Amino acid sequence: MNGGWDIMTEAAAVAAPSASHERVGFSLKRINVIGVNTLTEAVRQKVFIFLLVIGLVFIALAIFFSQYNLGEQEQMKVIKDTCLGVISVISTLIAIVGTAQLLPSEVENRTIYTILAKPVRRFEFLLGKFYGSVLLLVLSMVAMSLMFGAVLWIKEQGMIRELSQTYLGETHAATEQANQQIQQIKVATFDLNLLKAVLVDLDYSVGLDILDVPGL
Amino acid sequence: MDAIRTEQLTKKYDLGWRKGRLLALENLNLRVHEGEVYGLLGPNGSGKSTTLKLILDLISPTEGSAWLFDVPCNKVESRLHVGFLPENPYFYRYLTGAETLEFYGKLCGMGGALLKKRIEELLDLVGLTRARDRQLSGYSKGMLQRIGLAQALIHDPKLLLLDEPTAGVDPIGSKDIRDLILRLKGMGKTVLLSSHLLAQVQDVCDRIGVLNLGQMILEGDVKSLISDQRRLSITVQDLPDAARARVEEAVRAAGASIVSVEHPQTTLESLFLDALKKDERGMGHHD
Repeated sequence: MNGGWDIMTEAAAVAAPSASHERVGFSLKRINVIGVNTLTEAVRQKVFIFLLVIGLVFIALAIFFSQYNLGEQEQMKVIKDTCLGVISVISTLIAIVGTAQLLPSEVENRTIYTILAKPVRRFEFLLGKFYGSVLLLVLSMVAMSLMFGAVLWIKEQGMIRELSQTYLGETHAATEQANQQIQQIKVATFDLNLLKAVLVDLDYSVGLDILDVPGL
Repeated sequence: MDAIRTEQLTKKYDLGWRKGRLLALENLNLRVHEGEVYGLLGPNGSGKSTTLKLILDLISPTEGSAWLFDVPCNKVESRLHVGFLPENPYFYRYLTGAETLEFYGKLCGMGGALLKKRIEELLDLVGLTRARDRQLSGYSKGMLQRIGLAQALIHDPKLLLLDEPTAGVDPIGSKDIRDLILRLKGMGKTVLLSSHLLAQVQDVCDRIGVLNLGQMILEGDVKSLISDQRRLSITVQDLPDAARARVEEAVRAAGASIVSVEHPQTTLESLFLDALKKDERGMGHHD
Protein backbone atom coordinates (compact mmCIF):
# COMPACT_ATOMS: atom_id res chain seq x y z
CA MET A 1 0.00 0.00 0.00
CA ASN A 2 3.05 2.21 -0.02
CA GLY A 3 2.58 5.21 -2.23
CA GLY A 4 -1.19 5.37 -1.87
CA TRP A 5 -3.96 3.14 -3.09
CA ASP A 6 -4.37 2.27 -6.67
CA ILE A 7 -7.38 0.55 -8.13
CA MET A 8 -6.85 -2.20 -10.65
CA THR A 9 -10.17 -3.02 -12.13
CA GLU A 10 -9.08 -5.35 -14.91
CA ALA A 11 -10.27 -8.43 -13.04
CA ALA A 12 -13.28 -6.62 -11.65
CA ALA A 13 -14.36 -5.50 -15.09
CA VAL A 14 -14.36 -9.06 -16.35
CA ALA A 15 -15.46 -10.89 -13.23
CA ALA A 16 -18.27 -8.62 -12.09
CA PRO A 17 -21.77 -9.42 -13.33
CA SER A 18 -22.61 -7.73 -16.56
CA ALA A 19 -24.61 -4.55 -16.31
CA SER A 20 -26.97 -5.88 -18.94
CA HIS A 21 -28.12 -8.63 -16.57
CA GLU A 22 -30.25 -6.37 -14.44
CA ARG A 23 -32.66 -9.10 -13.40
CA VAL A 24 -31.63 -10.88 -10.23
CA GLY A 25 -33.41 -14.20 -9.92
CA PHE A 26 -33.63 -16.71 -7.11
CA SER A 27 -30.19 -18.22 -6.74
CA LEU A 28 -29.26 -21.60 -5.24
CA LYS A 29 -25.62 -20.58 -5.62
CA ARG A 30 -26.03 -17.68 -3.21
CA ILE A 31 -27.86 -19.94 -0.75
CA ASN A 32 -25.02 -22.44 -1.04
CA VAL A 33 -22.40 -19.72 -0.49
CA ILE A 34 -24.17 -18.51 2.66
CA GLY A 35 -24.71 -22.09 3.84
CA VAL A 36 -21.09 -23.13 3.35
CA ASN A 37 -19.98 -19.93 5.07
CA THR A 38 -22.28 -20.70 8.02
CA LEU A 39 -20.81 -24.21 8.21
CA THR A 40 -17.21 -22.93 8.00
CA GLU A 41 -17.89 -20.34 10.70
CA ALA A 42 -19.47 -22.96 13.00
CA VAL A 43 -16.83 -25.64 12.44
CA ARG A 44 -14.07 -23.21 13.41
CA GLN A 45 -15.69 -22.45 16.75
CA LYS A 46 -14.23 -24.22 19.75
CA VAL A 47 -17.62 -25.13 21.19
CA PHE A 48 -18.49 -27.24 18.14
CA ILE A 49 -15.15 -29.04 18.17
CA PHE A 50 -15.51 -29.60 21.93
CA LEU A 51 -19.00 -31.13 21.62
CA LEU A 52 -17.99 -33.31 18.70
CA VAL A 53 -14.88 -34.60 20.47
CA ILE A 54 -16.96 -35.36 23.58
CA GLY A 55 -19.43 -37.28 21.43
CA LEU A 56 -16.71 -39.25 19.65
CA VAL A 57 -15.00 -40.12 22.95
CA PHE A 58 -18.23 -41.39 24.53
CA ILE A 59 -19.01 -43.46 21.44
CA ALA A 60 -15.52 -44.97 21.56
CA LEU A 61 -15.95 -45.72 25.25
CA ALA A 62 -19.05 -47.79 24.46
CA ILE A 63 -16.69 -50.73 23.76
CA PHE A 64 -15.56 -50.69 27.37
CA PHE A 65 -19.08 -50.23 28.74
CA SER A 66 -20.11 -53.42 26.95
CA GLN A 67 -17.41 -55.50 28.66
CA TYR A 68 -19.54 -55.78 31.78
CA ASN A 69 -22.18 -57.83 29.99
CA LEU A 70 -21.74 -61.51 29.37
CA GLY A 71 -23.82 -62.40 26.35
CA GLU A 72 -22.87 -61.31 22.86
CA GLN A 73 -26.33 -59.99 22.18
CA GLU A 74 -26.32 -57.93 25.37
CA GLN A 75 -22.93 -56.48 24.52
CA MET A 76 -24.09 -55.37 21.08
CA LYS A 77 -27.27 -53.94 22.59
CA VAL A 78 -25.28 -51.88 25.09
CA ILE A 79 -23.07 -50.52 22.29
CA LYS A 80 -26.05 -49.71 20.11
CA ASP A 81 -28.00 -47.97 22.88
CA THR A 82 -24.98 -46.01 24.13
CA CYS A 83 -23.88 -44.81 20.70
CA LEU A 84 -27.35 -43.86 19.47
CA GLY A 85 -27.99 -42.07 22.76
CA VAL A 86 -24.73 -40.10 22.51
CA ILE A 87 -25.42 -39.20 18.84
CA SER A 88 -28.89 -38.01 19.79
CA VAL A 89 -27.76 -35.88 22.77
CA ILE A 90 -24.69 -34.37 21.08
CA SER A 91 -26.62 -33.61 17.88
CA THR A 92 -29.29 -31.86 19.94
CA LEU A 93 -26.65 -29.82 21.77
CA ILE A 94 -24.90 -28.89 18.51
CA ALA A 95 -28.25 -27.92 16.99
CA ILE A 96 -29.06 -25.69 19.98
CA VAL A 97 -25.60 -24.11 20.27
CA GLY A 98 -25.18 -23.76 16.52
CA THR A 99 -28.52 -22.16 15.79
CA ALA A 100 -29.46 -20.20 18.93
CA GLN A 101 -27.16 -17.31 18.05
CA LEU A 102 -27.30 -17.83 14.31
CA LEU A 103 -29.43 -14.80 13.45
CA PRO A 104 -29.14 -12.57 16.58
CA SER A 105 -25.35 -12.55 16.26
CA GLU A 106 -25.67 -11.53 12.61
CA VAL A 107 -27.74 -8.52 13.65
CA GLU A 108 -25.58 -7.67 16.69
CA ASN A 109 -22.34 -7.90 14.72
CA ARG A 110 -23.94 -6.10 11.75
CA THR A 111 -22.63 -8.75 9.39
CA ILE A 112 -26.19 -9.02 8.08
CA TYR A 113 -25.91 -5.46 6.76
CA THR A 114 -22.93 -6.26 4.58
CA ILE A 115 -24.69 -9.33 3.17
CA LEU A 116 -28.09 -7.77 2.52
CA ALA A 117 -26.33 -4.74 0.98
CA LYS A 118 -25.31 -7.13 -1.81
CA PRO A 119 -27.91 -8.41 -4.29
CA VAL A 120 -29.18 -11.03 -1.84
CA ARG A 121 -32.82 -11.54 -0.93
CA ARG A 122 -33.82 -11.89 2.70
CA PHE A 123 -35.28 -15.36 2.24
CA GLU A 124 -32.13 -16.44 0.40
CA PHE A 125 -30.16 -15.36 3.44
CA LEU A 126 -32.50 -17.25 5.79
CA LEU A 127 -32.46 -20.36 3.59
CA GLY A 128 -28.67 -20.19 3.42
CA LYS A 129 -28.42 -19.99 7.19
CA PHE A 130 -30.84 -22.92 7.56
CA TYR A 131 -28.91 -24.92 4.96
CA GLY A 132 -25.66 -24.21 6.79
CA SER A 133 -27.15 -25.40 10.07
CA VAL A 134 -28.39 -28.60 8.41
CA LEU A 135 -24.92 -29.13 6.90
CA LEU A 136 -23.41 -28.69 10.35
CA LEU A 137 -25.74 -31.31 11.84
CA VAL A 138 -25.19 -33.72 8.95
CA LEU A 139 -21.43 -33.32 9.27
CA SER A 140 -21.45 -33.97 13.02
CA MET A 141 -23.83 -36.93 12.65
CA VAL A 142 -21.73 -38.44 9.86
CA ALA A 143 -18.60 -38.10 12.01
CA MET A 144 -20.32 -39.73 14.99
CA SER A 145 -21.91 -42.42 12.81
CA LEU A 146 -18.52 -43.31 11.35
CA MET A 147 -17.16 -43.66 14.86
CA PHE A 148 -20.22 -45.78 15.76
CA GLY A 149 -19.55 -47.97 12.74
CA ALA A 150 -15.89 -48.29 13.68
CA VAL A 151 -16.85 -49.30 17.23
CA LEU A 152 -19.27 -51.93 15.90
CA TRP A 153 -16.63 -53.26 13.49
CA ILE A 154 -13.99 -53.48 16.22
CA LYS A 155 -16.42 -55.24 18.54
CA GLU A 156 -17.54 -57.60 15.79
CA GLN A 157 -13.96 -58.49 14.91
CA GLY A 158 -13.22 -59.08 18.58
CA MET A 159 -16.20 -61.39 18.97
CA ILE A 160 -15.38 -63.31 15.81
CA ARG A 161 -11.81 -63.77 17.00
CA GLU A 162 -13.01 -64.91 20.41
CA LEU A 163 -15.44 -67.46 18.99
CA SER A 164 -12.90 -68.75 16.52
CA GLN A 165 -10.41 -69.30 19.28
CA THR A 166 -13.03 -71.16 21.31
CA TYR A 167 -13.92 -73.49 18.48
CA LEU A 168 -10.29 -73.95 17.43
CA GLY A 169 -9.39 -74.83 21.03
CA GLU A 170 -12.12 -77.42 21.18
CA THR A 171 -10.93 -78.96 17.91
CA HIS A 172 -7.37 -79.06 19.13
CA ALA A 173 -8.38 -80.83 22.33
CA ALA A 174 -10.40 -83.34 20.40
CA THR A 175 -7.50 -83.98 18.05
CA GLU A 176 -5.12 -84.43 20.95
CA GLN A 177 -7.54 -86.83 22.55
CA ALA A 178 -7.92 -88.73 19.34
CA ASN A 179 -4.16 -88.91 18.94
CA GLN A 180 -3.81 -90.23 22.48
CA GLN A 181 -6.51 -92.76 21.78
CA ILE A 182 -4.70 -93.74 18.61
CA GLN A 183 -1.48 -94.19 20.54
CA GLN A 184 -3.27 -96.25 23.18
CA ILE A 185 -4.81 -98.36 20.46
CA LYS A 186 -1.39 -98.79 18.90
CA VAL A 187 0.15 -99.84 22.17
CA ALA A 188 -2.75 -102.07 23.06
CA THR A 189 -2.71 -103.86 19.69
CA PHE A 190 1.07 -104.25 19.43
CA ASP A 191 1.78 -108.06 19.41
CA LEU A 192 4.98 -109.96 18.77
CA ASN A 193 3.11 -112.75 16.99
CA LEU A 194 1.69 -110.26 14.59
CA LEU A 195 5.15 -108.86 14.05
CA LYS A 196 6.48 -112.36 13.51
CA ALA A 197 3.81 -113.07 10.95
CA VAL A 198 4.68 -109.89 9.11
CA LEU A 199 8.36 -110.71 9.12
CA VAL A 200 7.71 -114.27 7.85
CA ASP A 201 5.72 -112.85 5.09
CA LEU A 202 8.48 -110.37 4.29
CA ASP A 203 11.10 -113.15 4.44
CA TYR A 204 9.12 -115.22 2.10
CA SER A 205 8.60 -112.38 -0.22
CA VAL A 206 12.16 -111.08 -0.53
CA GLY A 207 14.02 -114.28 0.24
CA LEU A 208 15.78 -112.96 3.31
CA ASP A 209 16.69 -115.51 5.87
CA ILE A 210 15.87 -113.36 8.75
CA LEU A 211 13.99 -116.06 10.49
CA ASP A 212 17.29 -117.67 11.23
CA VAL A 213 18.09 -114.70 13.43
CA PRO A 214 18.61 -116.05 16.88
CA GLY A 215 15.90 -115.11 19.35
CA LEU A 216 13.17 -114.91 16.84
CA MET B 1 -29.87 9.87 -14.04
CA ASP B 2 -29.49 10.27 -10.30
CA ALA B 3 -27.49 7.61 -8.52
CA ILE B 4 -29.60 8.15 -5.39
CA ARG B 5 -33.01 9.75 -5.13
CA THR B 6 -35.28 9.91 -2.13
CA GLU B 7 -38.71 11.48 -1.82
CA GLN B 8 -40.26 12.36 1.52
CA LEU B 9 -38.22 9.59 3.12
CA THR B 10 -39.27 9.23 6.74
CA LYS B 11 -38.35 6.76 9.44
CA LYS B 12 -39.90 6.46 12.87
CA TYR B 13 -38.68 3.88 15.35
CA ASP B 14 -41.05 2.33 17.86
CA LEU B 15 -39.62 2.78 21.33
CA GLY B 16 -41.89 0.26 22.96
CA TRP B 17 -45.21 0.24 24.70
CA ARG B 18 -46.25 3.69 26.01
CA LYS B 19 -42.93 5.22 25.00
CA GLY B 20 -44.06 6.53 21.64
CA ARG B 21 -41.98 6.73 18.50
CA LEU B 22 -38.62 8.26 17.71
CA LEU B 23 -38.46 10.36 14.58
CA ALA B 24 -35.09 9.40 13.09
CA LEU B 25 -35.58 10.91 9.64
CA GLU B 26 -38.20 13.29 8.36
CA ASN B 27 -39.20 13.98 4.78
CA LEU B 28 -35.75 13.64 3.27
CA ASN B 29 -35.56 14.68 -0.37
CA LEU B 30 -32.06 13.76 -1.43
CA ARG B 31 -30.54 13.65 -4.88
CA VAL B 32 -27.02 12.41 -5.48
CA HIS B 33 -25.96 12.81 -9.09
CA GLU B 34 -24.01 10.16 -10.91
CA GLY B 35 -20.26 10.71 -10.68
CA GLU B 36 -20.27 13.07 -7.71
CA VAL B 37 -18.99 12.68 -4.17
CA TYR B 38 -21.68 13.65 -1.67
CA GLY B 39 -20.94 14.19 1.99
CA LEU B 40 -23.63 13.54 4.57
CA LEU B 41 -22.79 15.43 7.74
CA GLY B 42 -24.43 15.71 11.10
CA PRO B 43 -23.99 15.05 14.79
CA ASN B 44 -24.57 11.63 16.34
CA GLY B 45 -28.21 10.57 16.05
CA SER B 46 -28.97 13.00 13.27
CA GLY B 47 -30.15 10.27 10.90
CA LYS B 48 -27.09 9.67 8.68
CA SER B 49 -26.84 5.91 9.22
CA THR B 50 -30.63 5.60 9.08
CA THR B 51 -30.56 7.25 5.66
CA LEU B 52 -27.98 4.78 4.39
CA LYS B 53 -29.92 1.81 5.78
CA LEU B 54 -33.14 3.04 4.16
CA ILE B 55 -31.39 3.49 0.82
CA LEU B 56 -30.12 -0.09 0.99
CA ASP B 57 -33.52 -1.41 2.14
CA LEU B 58 -31.93 -2.77 5.31
CA ILE B 59 -34.81 -1.13 7.15
CA SER B 60 -38.21 -0.16 5.79
CA PRO B 61 -39.27 3.48 5.58
CA THR B 62 -42.29 4.63 7.56
CA GLU B 63 -43.15 6.94 4.68
CA GLY B 64 -41.64 7.95 1.37
CA SER B 65 -39.54 6.13 -1.20
CA ALA B 66 -35.99 5.83 -2.44
CA TRP B 67 -34.38 4.82 -5.73
CA LEU B 68 -30.89 3.75 -6.74
CA PHE B 69 -30.16 4.40 -10.42
CA ASP B 70 -33.93 4.78 -10.86
CA VAL B 71 -34.59 1.29 -9.47
CA PRO B 72 -36.82 1.26 -6.36
CA CYS B 73 -34.75 0.42 -3.30
CA ASN B 74 -37.06 -2.38 -2.22
CA LYS B 75 -36.00 -4.36 -5.31
CA VAL B 76 -32.89 -6.52 -5.01
CA GLU B 77 -31.73 -5.29 -8.43
CA SER B 78 -31.15 -1.85 -6.95
CA ARG B 79 -28.15 -3.25 -5.05
CA LEU B 80 -26.41 -4.75 -8.07
CA HIS B 81 -24.00 -1.86 -8.45
CA VAL B 82 -23.67 -0.73 -4.85
CA GLY B 83 -20.83 -1.24 -2.41
CA PHE B 84 -21.48 -0.56 1.26
CA LEU B 85 -19.11 -0.06 4.14
CA PRO B 86 -21.03 0.09 7.44
CA GLU B 87 -19.87 2.06 10.44
CA ASN B 88 -17.55 -0.02 12.67
CA PRO B 89 -17.90 -3.09 10.46
CA TYR B 90 -17.69 -6.54 11.97
CA PHE B 91 -17.28 -9.51 9.69
CA TYR B 92 -17.14 -13.25 10.25
CA ARG B 93 -14.38 -13.53 12.83
CA TYR B 94 -13.31 -17.04 11.89
CA LEU B 95 -12.81 -16.28 8.21
CA THR B 96 -9.47 -15.06 6.89
CA GLY B 97 -9.15 -11.83 4.95
CA ALA B 98 -9.00 -13.65 1.61
CA GLU B 99 -11.95 -15.92 2.53
CA THR B 100 -14.01 -12.86 3.49
CA LEU B 101 -13.48 -11.25 0.11
CA GLU B 102 -14.17 -14.57 -1.64
CA PHE B 103 -17.46 -14.88 0.27
CA TYR B 104 -18.66 -11.40 -0.69
CA GLY B 105 -17.42 -11.83 -4.26
CA LYS B 106 -19.43 -15.03 -4.66
CA LEU B 107 -22.51 -13.30 -3.25
CA CYS B 108 -22.11 -10.80 -6.08
CA GLY B 109 -22.05 -13.61 -8.65
CA MET B 110 -18.29 -13.62 -9.17
CA GLY B 111 -16.12 -16.73 -9.18
CA GLY B 112 -13.20 -18.63 -10.59
CA ALA B 113 -9.70 -17.37 -11.33
CA LEU B 114 -10.92 -13.86 -11.99
CA LEU B 115 -12.36 -13.57 -8.49
CA LYS B 116 -9.07 -14.82 -7.07
CA LYS B 117 -7.21 -12.20 -9.08
CA ARG B 118 -9.60 -9.49 -7.93
CA ILE B 119 -9.11 -10.58 -4.30
CA GLU B 120 -5.33 -10.28 -4.63
CA GLU B 121 -5.72 -6.85 -6.22
CA LEU B 122 -7.94 -5.59 -3.43
CA LEU B 123 -5.80 -7.07 -0.66
CA ASP B 124 -2.86 -5.27 -2.20
CA LEU B 125 -4.95 -2.13 -2.59
CA VAL B 126 -5.86 -1.93 1.10
CA GLY B 127 -2.46 -3.14 2.30
CA LEU B 128 -3.56 -6.48 3.75
CA THR B 129 -1.64 -8.88 1.52
CA ARG B 130 0.51 -10.09 4.39
CA ALA B 131 -2.58 -10.60 6.58
CA ARG B 132 -4.59 -12.39 3.86
CA ASP B 133 -4.54 -15.78 5.64
CA ARG B 134 -5.08 -14.46 9.15
CA GLN B 135 -8.52 -14.83 10.73
CA LEU B 136 -10.39 -11.55 11.18
CA SER B 137 -10.56 -12.17 14.95
CA GLY B 138 -6.87 -11.18 14.91
CA TYR B 139 -7.40 -7.97 12.90
CA SER B 140 -7.15 -4.51 14.44
CA LYS B 141 -9.99 -2.00 14.07
CA GLY B 142 -8.19 -0.24 11.25
CA MET B 143 -7.58 -3.52 9.44
CA LEU B 144 -11.27 -4.42 9.74
CA GLN B 145 -12.11 -1.05 8.20
CA ARG B 146 -9.74 -1.81 5.33
CA ILE B 147 -11.14 -5.28 4.67
CA GLY B 148 -14.60 -3.68 4.84
CA LEU B 149 -13.61 -1.24 2.16
CA ALA B 150 -12.19 -4.08 0.05
CA GLN B 151 -15.45 -6.06 0.29
CA ALA B 152 -17.39 -2.95 -0.73
CA LEU B 153 -15.22 -2.66 -3.85
CA ILE B 154 -15.13 -6.39 -4.69
CA HIS B 155 -17.59 -6.22 -7.60
CA ASP B 156 -16.40 -2.83 -8.86
CA PRO B 157 -19.65 -1.03 -7.99
CA LYS B 158 -20.84 2.20 -9.60
CA LEU B 159 -22.00 3.59 -6.25
CA LEU B 160 -20.22 3.43 -2.91
CA LEU B 161 -21.93 4.12 0.39
CA LEU B 162 -19.32 4.74 3.06
CA ASP B 163 -20.47 5.17 6.64
CA GLU B 164 -17.61 6.73 8.61
CA PRO B 165 -14.92 5.13 6.41
CA THR B 166 -12.01 6.53 8.41
CA ALA B 167 -13.25 5.54 11.87
CA GLY B 168 -10.41 3.77 13.66
CA VAL B 169 -7.96 4.31 10.82
CA ASP B 170 -4.63 6.05 11.48
CA PRO B 171 -3.74 9.31 9.64
CA ILE B 172 -1.81 7.48 6.92
CA GLY B 173 -4.74 5.13 6.26
CA SER B 174 -7.13 8.06 6.48
CA LYS B 175 -5.19 9.91 3.80
CA ASP B 176 -5.13 6.75 1.67
CA ILE B 177 -8.91 6.47 1.93
CA ARG B 178 -9.28 10.12 0.98
CA ASP B 179 -7.02 9.57 -2.04
CA LEU B 180 -8.99 6.45 -2.93
CA ILE B 181 -12.27 8.37 -2.88
CA LEU B 182 -10.78 11.00 -5.17
CA ARG B 183 -9.51 8.25 -7.47
CA LEU B 184 -12.95 6.64 -7.53
CA LYS B 185 -14.42 9.99 -8.40
CA GLY B 186 -11.91 10.28 -11.24
CA MET B 187 -13.15 6.93 -12.53
CA GLY B 188 -16.70 8.23 -12.63
CA LYS B 189 -17.92 6.42 -9.51
CA THR B 190 -20.51 7.95 -7.24
CA VAL B 191 -19.73 8.13 -3.54
CA LEU B 192 -22.05 8.91 -0.66
CA LEU B 193 -19.89 9.58 2.35
CA SER B 194 -21.04 9.94 5.93
CA SER B 195 -18.34 11.38 8.16
CA HIS B 196 -17.61 13.44 11.22
CA LEU B 197 -14.28 14.57 9.85
CA LEU B 198 -15.29 17.86 8.31
CA ALA B 199 -11.84 18.65 6.92
CA GLN B 200 -11.84 15.36 5.06
CA VAL B 201 -15.34 15.94 3.70
CA GLN B 202 -14.31 19.39 2.57
CA ASP B 203 -11.35 17.94 0.68
CA VAL B 204 -13.17 15.23 -1.26
CA CYS B 205 -16.84 16.15 -1.55
CA ASP B 206 -18.50 18.03 -4.38
CA ARG B 207 -21.70 18.61 -2.42
CA ILE B 208 -22.71 18.18 1.17
CA GLY B 209 -25.91 17.87 3.15
CA VAL B 210 -26.15 18.54 6.87
CA LEU B 211 -28.65 16.55 8.88
CA ASN B 212 -29.81 17.47 12.35
CA LEU B 213 -32.51 15.69 14.33
CA GLY B 214 -33.61 13.86 11.20
CA GLN B 215 -33.98 16.92 9.01
CA MET B 216 -31.80 18.29 6.25
CA ILE B 217 -30.88 21.76 7.45
CA LEU B 218 -28.26 22.69 4.89
CA GLU B 219 -27.36 21.41 1.45
CA GLY B 220 -25.26 22.64 -1.41
CA ASP B 221 -21.98 22.85 -3.29
CA VAL B 222 -19.04 22.71 -0.90
CA LYS B 223 -17.03 25.53 -2.46
CA SER B 224 -19.94 27.93 -2.61
CA LEU B 225 -21.04 27.07 0.92
CA ILE B 226 -17.69 27.64 2.57
CA SER B 227 -16.45 30.61 0.57
CA ASP B 228 -17.08 34.07 2.07
CA GLN B 229 -17.58 36.47 -0.84
CA ARG B 230 -17.10 39.54 1.37
CA ARG B 231 -13.63 38.52 2.50
CA LEU B 232 -10.40 38.11 0.55
CA SER B 233 -7.27 36.24 1.55
CA ILE B 234 -3.95 37.05 -0.10
CA THR B 235 -0.92 35.00 0.87
CA VAL B 236 2.44 36.63 0.14
CA GLN B 237 5.95 35.47 0.80
CA ASP B 238 9.04 37.46 1.98
CA LEU B 239 7.13 40.77 2.30
CA PRO B 240 9.32 43.50 3.89
CA ASP B 241 7.78 45.45 6.83
CA ALA B 242 7.80 48.71 4.86
CA ALA B 243 5.92 47.16 1.98
CA ARG B 244 3.44 45.60 4.40
CA ALA B 245 2.74 49.06 5.92
CA ARG B 246 2.08 50.44 2.45
CA VAL B 247 -0.33 47.54 1.67
CA GLU B 248 -2.24 48.14 4.89
CA GLU B 249 -2.42 51.87 4.11
CA ALA B 250 -3.73 51.13 0.63
CA VAL B 251 -6.42 48.83 2.06
CA ARG B 252 -7.62 51.52 4.47
CA ALA B 253 -7.50 54.16 1.74
CA ALA B 254 -9.83 51.98 -0.36
CA GLY B 255 -12.39 51.99 2.47
CA ALA B 256 -11.83 48.33 3.41
CA SER B 257 -10.80 47.02 6.81
CA ILE B 258 -8.13 44.47 7.73
CA VAL B 259 -9.75 41.69 9.79
CA SER B 260 -6.60 39.74 10.62
CA VAL B 261 -2.94 39.52 9.67
CA GLU B 262 -1.31 36.21 10.53
CA HIS B 263 1.20 33.67 9.35
CA PRO B 264 -0.49 30.77 7.55
CA GLN B 265 -0.34 27.52 9.45
CA THR B 266 0.14 24.05 8.07
CA THR B 267 -2.34 21.36 9.08
CA LEU B 268 -1.46 18.83 11.75
CA GLU B 269 -2.04 16.11 9.18
CA SER B 270 0.54 17.60 6.79
CA LEU B 271 2.99 18.01 9.66
CA PHE B 272 2.47 14.38 10.71
CA LEU B 273 2.85 12.99 7.19
CA ASP B 274 5.93 15.15 6.48
CA ALA B 275 7.57 13.91 9.69
CA LEU B 276 6.94 10.30 8.67
CA LYS B 277 8.24 10.89 5.15
CA LYS B 278 11.44 12.36 6.56
CA ASP B 279 11.98 9.34 8.79
CA GLU B 280 14.64 7.30 7.03
CA ARG B 281 13.21 4.03 8.34
CA GLY B 282 10.10 4.57 6.19
CA MET B 283 6.43 4.83 7.10
CA GLY B 284 4.95 2.54 9.72
CA HIS B 285 2.59 -0.14 8.51
CA HIS B 286 -0.39 -1.88 9.96
CA ASP B 287 -0.20 -5.60 9.36
